[in-house]
Amino acid sequence: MFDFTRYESFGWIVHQKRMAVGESFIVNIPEGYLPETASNVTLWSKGRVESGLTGKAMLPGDCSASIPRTSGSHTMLAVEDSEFWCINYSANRHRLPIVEVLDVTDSVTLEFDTLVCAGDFVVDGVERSAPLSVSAGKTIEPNGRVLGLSFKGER
Amino acid sequence: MTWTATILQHNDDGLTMDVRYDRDGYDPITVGVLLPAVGADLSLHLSTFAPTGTWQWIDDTRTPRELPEIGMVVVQPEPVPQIPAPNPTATMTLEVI
Repeated sequence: MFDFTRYESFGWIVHQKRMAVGESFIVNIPEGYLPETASNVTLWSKGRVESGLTGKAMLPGDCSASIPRTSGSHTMLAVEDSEFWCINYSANRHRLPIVEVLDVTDSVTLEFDTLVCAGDFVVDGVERSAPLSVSAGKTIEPNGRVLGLSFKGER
Repeated sequence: MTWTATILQHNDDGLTMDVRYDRDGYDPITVGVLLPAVGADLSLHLSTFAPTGTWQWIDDTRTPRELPEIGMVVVQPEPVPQIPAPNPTATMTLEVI
């Protein structure tokens, strides 16, 4: 069983999972799978996790909501210390958000309420670090790369 | 899901208050809510009492339903892609700025 850190951000339950090198899990992708109707929304925020079926790597900034998957059984192996953030359909009482990935290195004013998952930044003149819930309208000034999930609405 | 909460009254028990939750497309729902702890974030406190289960039930009752044929045998579907379920763990509410 996985060990997650469970957070609540703007009403959404989000699980943060860190994977050590060599750790793995299996994902079964059915025929006809569509990213936009998957039962999880996952943002990869650190490291490198590779599929044993296709060799494709999930890298920081990759999001399940926009990445097609080959059908079959994927053993996802962490080849670096890795981290992902997952919004699960069941954990959220059969609801999922419509998300937009935040992936910035320059200052940006948030259009939507956002869960910042990775990175350091300045907001309201204060240095902050992920994870943090940042409200729409706030301007963040990244110190390096900042990754997160902006909540645009609900599916 | 976007809702607003209106504090209606403090109750005589000295422990609760009545709060009306409004959400587009749904009738208002009044909930008896524990008074927040001193210094607590009111919006986060009220979010824990939002009637999300009731709204979900309303959604379920609004969904058109059909009658599967009696005697029909259904094979278990292929598993949907899902990261393994996590161990039960406490939820940490993130600071909102």
